Amino acid sequence: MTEERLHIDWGNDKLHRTQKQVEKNPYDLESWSILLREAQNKHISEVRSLYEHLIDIFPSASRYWRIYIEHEMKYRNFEKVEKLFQRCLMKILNIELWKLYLGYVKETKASLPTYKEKMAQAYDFALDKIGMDIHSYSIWNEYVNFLKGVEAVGSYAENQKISAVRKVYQRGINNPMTGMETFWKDYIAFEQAINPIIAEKMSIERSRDYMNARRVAKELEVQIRGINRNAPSVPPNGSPEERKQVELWQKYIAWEKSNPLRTEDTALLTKRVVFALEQCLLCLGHHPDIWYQAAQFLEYSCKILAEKGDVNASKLFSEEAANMFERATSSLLNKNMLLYFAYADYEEGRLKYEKVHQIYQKYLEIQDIDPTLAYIQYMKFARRAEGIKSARAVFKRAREDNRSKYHIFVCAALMEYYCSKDKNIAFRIFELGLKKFGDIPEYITCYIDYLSHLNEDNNTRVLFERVLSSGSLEPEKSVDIWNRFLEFECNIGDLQSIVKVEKRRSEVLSKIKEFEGKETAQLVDRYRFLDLYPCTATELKSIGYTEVINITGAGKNHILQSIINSDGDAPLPIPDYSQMIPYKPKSNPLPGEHPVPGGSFPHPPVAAHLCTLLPPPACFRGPFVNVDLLMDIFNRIQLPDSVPQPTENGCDVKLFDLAKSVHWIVEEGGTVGIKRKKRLGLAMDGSDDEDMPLPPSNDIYRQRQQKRVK
Amino acid sequence: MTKSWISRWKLVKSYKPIFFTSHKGPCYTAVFSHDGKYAATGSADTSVKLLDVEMMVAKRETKETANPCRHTLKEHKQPVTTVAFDFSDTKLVTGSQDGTIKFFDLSKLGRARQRSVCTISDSHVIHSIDYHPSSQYLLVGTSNPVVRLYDVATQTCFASANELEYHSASVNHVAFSCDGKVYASASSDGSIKLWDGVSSRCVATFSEAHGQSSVDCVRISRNFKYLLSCGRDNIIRLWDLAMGQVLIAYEGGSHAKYGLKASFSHNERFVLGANDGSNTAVAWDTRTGEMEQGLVQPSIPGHAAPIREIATSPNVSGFLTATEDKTARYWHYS
Repeated sequence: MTEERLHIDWGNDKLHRTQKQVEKNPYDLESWSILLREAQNKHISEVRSLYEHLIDIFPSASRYWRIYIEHEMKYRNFEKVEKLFQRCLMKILNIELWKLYLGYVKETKASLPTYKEKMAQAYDFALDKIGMDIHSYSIWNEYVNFLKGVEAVGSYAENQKISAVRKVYQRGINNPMTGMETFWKDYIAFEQAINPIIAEKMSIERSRDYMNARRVAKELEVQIRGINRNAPSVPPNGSPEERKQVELWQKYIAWEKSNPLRTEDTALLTKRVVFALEQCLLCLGHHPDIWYQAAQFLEYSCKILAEKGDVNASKLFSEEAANMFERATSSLLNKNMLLYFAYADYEEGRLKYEKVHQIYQKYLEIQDIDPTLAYIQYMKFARRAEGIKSARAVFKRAREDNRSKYHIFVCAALMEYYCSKDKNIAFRIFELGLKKFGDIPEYITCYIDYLSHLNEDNNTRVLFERVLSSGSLEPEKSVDIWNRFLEFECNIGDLQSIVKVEKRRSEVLSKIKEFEGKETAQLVDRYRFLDLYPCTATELKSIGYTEVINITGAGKNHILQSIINSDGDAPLPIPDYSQMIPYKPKSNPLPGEHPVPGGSFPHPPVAAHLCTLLPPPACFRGPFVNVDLLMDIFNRIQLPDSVPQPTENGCDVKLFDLAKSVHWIVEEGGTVGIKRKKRLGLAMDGSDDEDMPLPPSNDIYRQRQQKRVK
Repeated sequence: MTKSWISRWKLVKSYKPIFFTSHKGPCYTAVFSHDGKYAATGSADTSVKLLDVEMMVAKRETKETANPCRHTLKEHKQPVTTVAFDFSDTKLVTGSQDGTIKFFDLSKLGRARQRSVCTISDSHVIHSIDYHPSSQYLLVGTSNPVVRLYDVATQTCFASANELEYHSASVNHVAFSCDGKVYASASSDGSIKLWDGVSSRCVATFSEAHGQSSVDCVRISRNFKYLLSCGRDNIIRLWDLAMGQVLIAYEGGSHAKYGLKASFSHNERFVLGANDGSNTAVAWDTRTGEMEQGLVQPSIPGHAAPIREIATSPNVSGFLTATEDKTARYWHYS
């Protein structure tokens, strides 16, 4: 394909460069649009290969299909156009594309004798597929007009025609779309023209459905606002625009799932949701979650239908779900394991084991992939569905495939151990794997794990010795195994063997640069347990332990990782408000504000909020404080040196008197003492009510109450 | 020796103006986004233009008809004096002589992008805005001597606690260092002040940095060791922040009439300034202070009026000049 395209003579260096760019990154939309713009000016035969390549990369991008088809149409290659429509229409439910198709049929088939049938067929087909689209009004309207325009001779044909038109109208007014108000009006007018009485009846009958659909249309408009429905599907790149689009689509799909039409008809609901999902897949075809969601929804509605007893429809949807997986795995995401596995599990759930085998085969046949995980899943499936024999067959196949990695040996061995409870077979598998993957420390670690969990101390020790002395491991890689050995000995061996292993280990380690002169760091390894260390984090750092753990493998431990990372980049220094003053820019501060140069010191936020709730200053009409006198009083107050002790009444009488004196002193100086005596006297008198507790002497309210009681 | 001469010769031939905006009034300011994809210019016609840098280049090279000017934002009532992008390049903030600072959300699509999402009203004419590297705080210089620090989330304003440390005349330019530890301000009182990024205390004052004349521009180098200042005395100076003294003076430009915001080139190898006499941009070697003859080609009909600000792209050899002749020109190395 590529060589073919290189023949295109752009006549411009820049465009050649753009083409190179596209070859390097096939999802570079901007470069594609540059190329496309140029290509549209060329003859179709020159750029056909380019288009083919483009729709190969973006098989669901209606925009590119449209440009291609329009270009072909310009040169009147109608056969090609027809073929292209056949290729894209069913897959791409895009309203613009379908409108193009209808326009094409209308134009080219007009001369044919079977024009009317063809056209009606095309419309029916289109409405069936895309009629649910919110912008489908023009198709509905055209169809009605087309039907109305058909000449009918004789009353039978006339009646036929009327009922055909009525049928389309009645379908249309239940369908949420923009412009449905006009459609409804047209329908009423149509019925009026035939028979006003029936029209009345019809409009009453149908208006509820219409109102419902209209409401949904309004909501739908809100839901799809912001969604770019013509965006070509590109692999996820995590950009904010993409995230936004995904979010919007998910919202729209969730809305459709919530059954906005409030219909009882599960089939209709499913159809609508699937339509929404299909629309979404046109734009987000590279997102596996949408595919999975679509299949899952179909499965769900299949269950609902089965509960309702509609076996046929249920079966249909169940097939649809499988079909959805099939489409996903054979088009854009043909290398996405997640979908393959989900598909396989789905088919397994339907007990179609033959199909599951096919699915795994299909994935494993792809050349440039890592099939290890697929083999493992395949093996697990074979075990649970068909027993250990079948799983062994898969394992045999997997180990003959030279792309697969050591994981399959681990998986197979553990499967034998856990499922068929056979230690020996597992042991043999591990041994077999050791021959092939003797130089991969991770594999050996798995083997050691297995052996040590079996409590076969001697065998484990033998394995350690075998692996470490065979020389198949480079020193850097053997560090891991040495660590395990040391840990193993620490757990079960005596001190001598620990020291022995440690010594041997340090011999190996001394060959590695990072360990030079760090004997203490090695000692740490002897004593650590899980995430516990014999030193603090800073001590570890000073020993140099943090530098070596990347090699010893202990760095996988997240606590140490955090120690290492903490000396990485410091957080950005951020302004500390407590060291600044709040500042409110104002050219001329109001009187009463606390002024600072060029502004004022604002109220704290809570006080500022309170101020907004208070009435405006103009509402305050007094009493005004005579500031001079107040200050004078403040000056005369003699504050005690110590804090006065509270009396048993909870309040100090003297303090109260002090406050009273402040209040009274302005008018008359010496009356206070008398009053006080009076009050105290009153309180004394009140004590003849023995059951009543003595009120605090400054509690005027209770004093008055007692007065009244007297 | 020969080699360096050749490479210099190549540079000499290289900067060419490839795009210019058409404002309706003198263009006061220009800035690039931090990823270098966008640029924004502000003008006396109260508008801000958002430019797509790649499209400016593409337009030149492929004769594309698409307009690189993505949006014209017309929200201010007075000339726009400063524009800034936040560090995630999703917010554009503009300051104007009407005393308002407006925020535009670039992550929105279509028309929503052209409406400001929030406004801060200040009492004085805004001269300069710069973002803290966390994009949470905004440093604002106004015709008032007090440098303001706004919290973007709450829009509350803070200032340095010590009144004695304030400038004594309007603040012309403010700049955060890219580690957020210090910021600098340049004022009409002729001084440059360095402030602590955490406490907002003044840590150094270079008074009479450009003689008696006012200082219009401060820029902190990427390793936050040097500071570039530009004053009305027609000299651009490079300061060592640790020593607090002038290292190099770049002489030979002239920009005394309107003042200039000079800049480092994208790799900080050159200092870009202006010559009002010939209405051209000029360049000096940052290390030696020698003027690079004709690095920016004067023979190409450049500007018809003095340059107000030079903004350099963060990652490619390109810069924008905002000028009195109602245009901002993009000069590209090709």
